[in-house]
Amino acid sequence: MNSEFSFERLFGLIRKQWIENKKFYTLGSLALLGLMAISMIIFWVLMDGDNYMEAFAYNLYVIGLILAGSIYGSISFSILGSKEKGQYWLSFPASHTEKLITTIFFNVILFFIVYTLCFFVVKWGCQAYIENYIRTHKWASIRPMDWENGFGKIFYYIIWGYFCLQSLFILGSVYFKQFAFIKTVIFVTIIGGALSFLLAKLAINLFPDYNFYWNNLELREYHDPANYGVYKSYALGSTLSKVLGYLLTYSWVPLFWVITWFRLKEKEI
Amino acid sequence: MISIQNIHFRYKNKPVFTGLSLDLQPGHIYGLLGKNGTGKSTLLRLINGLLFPKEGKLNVLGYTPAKRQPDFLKQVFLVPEEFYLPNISINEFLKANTGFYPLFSAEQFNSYLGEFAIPRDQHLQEMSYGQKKKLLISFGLACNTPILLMDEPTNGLDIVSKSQFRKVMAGAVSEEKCILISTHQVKDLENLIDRITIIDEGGILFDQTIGTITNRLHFKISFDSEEVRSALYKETSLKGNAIILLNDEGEEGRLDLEMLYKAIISNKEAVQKAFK
Repeated sequence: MNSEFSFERLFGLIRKQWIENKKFYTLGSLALLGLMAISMIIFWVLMDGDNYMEAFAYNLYVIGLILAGSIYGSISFSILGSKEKGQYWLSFPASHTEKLITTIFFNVILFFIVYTLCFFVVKWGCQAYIENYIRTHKWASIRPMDWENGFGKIFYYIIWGYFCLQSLFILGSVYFKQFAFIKTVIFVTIIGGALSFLLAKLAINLFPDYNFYWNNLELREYHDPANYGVYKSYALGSTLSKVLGYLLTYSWVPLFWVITWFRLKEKEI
Repeated sequence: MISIQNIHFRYKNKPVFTGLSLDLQPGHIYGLLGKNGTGKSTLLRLINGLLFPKEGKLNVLGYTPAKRQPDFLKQVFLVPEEFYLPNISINEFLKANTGFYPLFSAEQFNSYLGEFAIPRDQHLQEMSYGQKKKLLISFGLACNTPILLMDEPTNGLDIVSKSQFRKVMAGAVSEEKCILISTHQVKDLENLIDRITIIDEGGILFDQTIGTITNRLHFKISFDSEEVRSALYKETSLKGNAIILLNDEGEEGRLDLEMLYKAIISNKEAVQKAFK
């Protein structure tokens, strides 16, 4: 048993979290299932016309996941906003790492699994109804999700983006004692907006005639605007671009978790 | 066991401790007294690692509390003045928490609950504030942590519960335990604590054992005007003048904690001189 991490303590902590919050989790899951059913029936079954698209159901899945996941993420450490609850939580004999992992287990992993299960249960019911409807109404149809193109192709990136966003909201819940969701939204909007503005301004001023391509993290200068085949290219090289690309894509979630861990260690109540 | 050396602490711009030093040993129940806002609760939270000193050294059982290591936290239990208990049954509460305190004794816990007359099968949501506090005190005691910190433990307890509390606490003292009780209700701790520490103006104003106090000071009711005049502290009542005198004759007497506290606050120099 290590002073910072032990599986025995971690499982004990997960068990404790479950015992103390099982009513909330059960009722929350049922509420999620109900809300999911209402949204899918209204927006997919009733409002999608007679030419149903499976992609629409997945659109609803993503929108709901981002909304519910961010809100749920922003209450992850709401316990620290209250002196009594914060004392109870911080003085409990487990390390910050174990406490953070337990929160991630319930608020990120379990939430995602429960949300996705709710979606598939509701979708299965709705799809059964739609297929039955199609059998009796010859003009009606359903188009399956195209996983190779468009929304289907970027679906998994959107899901990853959701995890980044949720991690940011979890971090926000440690920073802000009250109204963490709203404050994180405002903070992200202001900081994100200001950063985008600065970067855009910088790029325009430093490289006025260049275009940027994500593919190889490449800058291109077109000599002849009428002929896009003639250009000068500056790229970081395939390997470096790939590494940087992976880092830019996948580093956000662990980065936000690490910052959250440091914030927990520094937390005073 | 608890070594506090020259610690400084402030809330934003409000200084609370400016060089506080204190040494607490096992086998004692310490009474931490002081006016409102002098930092009694802050000191308990510093010892428990919920707050971090800005300067100075704080060592508890060989650990730095601010690191909040599990090995340290399982040896310290804090009963806060305002506390949180989850909305579950007593059995579930035990199931969720006892595994983290290696010396927890279910037998002791049941016995303390019995002393406090709390039904074992009750749900925490159905309990009053006082009952919840008694449950938390019972749990804290049954955890058998070497250090037990209590912040205003008798607040919210009725008269009967306060005497139950004194009885339970008296039975919980052991050579291995260091119990630190912060309170402003000094009467509730009479006959319980064996050392009194009073904090004021960012430091220790008074820190003596009960034995030393009764050796040096004599508490009595007097009608002798000469005696009253020479008293370190006096209070007039219908029964006569309650006074504190220097115990030059080595007389045995009963300590009145509340009077002592008032004497220290109102006539600090004279009382401190008596202990030099």
